[in-house]
Amino acid sequence: MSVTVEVNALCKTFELSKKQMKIEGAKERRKVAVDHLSFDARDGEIFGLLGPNGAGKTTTLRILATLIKADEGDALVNGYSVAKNPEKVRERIGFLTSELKQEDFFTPNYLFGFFASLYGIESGAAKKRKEELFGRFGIDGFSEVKVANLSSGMKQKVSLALSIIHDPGIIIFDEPTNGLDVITAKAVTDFLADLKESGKTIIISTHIFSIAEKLCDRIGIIIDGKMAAFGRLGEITGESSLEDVFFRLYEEAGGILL
Amino acid sequence: MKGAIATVMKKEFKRFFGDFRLVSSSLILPGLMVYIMYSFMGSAFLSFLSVEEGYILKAAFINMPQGLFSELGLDGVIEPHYESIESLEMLKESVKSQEYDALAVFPDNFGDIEAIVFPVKDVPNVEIFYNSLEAKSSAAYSIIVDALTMYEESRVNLFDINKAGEYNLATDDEIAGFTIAMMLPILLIMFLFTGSLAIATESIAGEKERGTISTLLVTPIKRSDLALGKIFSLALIALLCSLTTTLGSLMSLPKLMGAESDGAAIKITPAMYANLFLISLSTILVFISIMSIISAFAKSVKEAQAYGMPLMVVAVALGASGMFGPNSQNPVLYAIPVYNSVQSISAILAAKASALNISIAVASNTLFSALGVVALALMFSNEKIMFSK
Repeated sequence: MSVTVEVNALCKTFELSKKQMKIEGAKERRKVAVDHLSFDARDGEIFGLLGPNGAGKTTTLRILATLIKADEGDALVNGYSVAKNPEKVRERIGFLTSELKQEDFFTPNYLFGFFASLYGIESGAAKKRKEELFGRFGIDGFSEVKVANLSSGMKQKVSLALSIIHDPGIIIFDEPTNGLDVITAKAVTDFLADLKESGKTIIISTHIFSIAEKLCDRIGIIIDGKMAAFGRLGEITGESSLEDVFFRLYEEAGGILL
Repeated sequence: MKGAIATVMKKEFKRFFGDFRLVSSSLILPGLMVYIMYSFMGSAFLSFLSVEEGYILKAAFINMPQGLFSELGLDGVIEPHYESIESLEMLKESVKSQEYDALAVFPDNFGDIEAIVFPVKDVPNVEIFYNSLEAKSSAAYSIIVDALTMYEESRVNLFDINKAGEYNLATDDEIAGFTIAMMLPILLIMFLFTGSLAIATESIAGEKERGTISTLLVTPIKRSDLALGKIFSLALIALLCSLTTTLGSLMSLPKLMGAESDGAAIKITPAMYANLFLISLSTILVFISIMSIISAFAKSVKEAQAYGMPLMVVAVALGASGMFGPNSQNPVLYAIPVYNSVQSISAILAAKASALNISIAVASNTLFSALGVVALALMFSNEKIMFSK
């Protein structure tokens, strides 16, 4: 297994609005979302970023997807810097989050052709890939239904299929099962396991312990933008459960459990 | 990524032309509405000025010398009511309340006109009261004034002006052509702007609002390709939209002006058409790039449209600068975006366009739009702008 994604001392701060400062009781105008975060991910594994809401998981993944820029530090994806070669990075990753929406007006069929063309996939290969992905997710029966008229589960499946249209080596998935019913959630996690089997690198973020325990080979526990623990699941947990370890780390970091 | 611009453009076209609601609301309806509105306004204006058939105008006369009414030739045209000076104020009210259409007050010394000698001093003054808001009153007023003027001229006539026949050497067609040349710059600029406003806000602010722009931003496509693809396709769609509106207004302008001309009066040569097209295309590129940048800044379609409104006022004001023909042939002025478009359109229609000035205008507008594309591409990579909520 070789390292495909290398994250080095990433930092990201956001400016808070005056209103937001009041809500959070913050004294400083700047809020540190990601604080010198480092980790790596390898091919053939699922790496999970585990942390409570607001810990900086999504921000980290968005930096990896080149949607936002880090203030300090860098990340290398297959050796390409997210800061210097964002286009090369985007060619090599598939990024998925629930905030990436598809245009309601188009059908999955049209969107597939559109994205295939944006990724520079020639039409023969695109057709084969479409049959494969649409078949796998059961989209084929809905390929001519406008996105607006699809169920939310089906929308998520279409988004997933489109995000890996170019068969990327690295898949970054923010909260993969968020808002999905159990059946769709299982289809998604099964698919992630399959991708891992085929040697892909998968990075997910989650706040659900069972998903981390079931899916991830290695995890990083993020609290307040900092890496609180990082390693193989067994190494981190030892004799205790992941949940106990997490709450202990959380309290050590100054978090208050109600 | 080769062909990315074309892919983005194709998607924009499919989005627009595949949606009947969009096509009808921005391509078909505006042109039709302008046609119907102008035609309606024209005929409403005409009917405002005319008195319904069979109506006999009623006028009150005070102190009118006997026999003068018939002498003025008003028999059968106006129904006279002879009144005394005591009821003057009451009669004025009657004119206001439309009981009478007009009131003519002759002075006591009106009979003196028989004895007038030159040079004339202290001539009698006839007062005619009327209500300009009422078509009937206005009609009665002008009939009485005309009759009195003719009566005066028959008494004391030094010379006549244009007494017989038609002296205006411009034909009806030419007058319609002049009107169109006057109105077209402002209308065209207005339609080019409204087309851009609707199309660009929907495509860029709309995609941002619906969260679909992020989906495009995670693909390997270059930000500049996305900006170019958007601006090119939106400009072509907006050009088409403004074309239909312009066509609608050209067809109805003569009706608005109350002229019977078919509007084909203005002689536009193929070269003029080509120049108009070039100018319109370069102008719409400017408008689309401005509106795209505004849309990228805005958080929603509504917000983008609100920002566009003050700009619309500026565009219309610039358009008004071309109403009375081209201001200047100074090439430097043709380097100012949008102002140069108005001046060029005006110059083209007046057949005074110089190839140099048109080229400067097109080049300047294109350069301005190119800067817009660069700015838009930078905005697409700016997380604060693209993901601000």
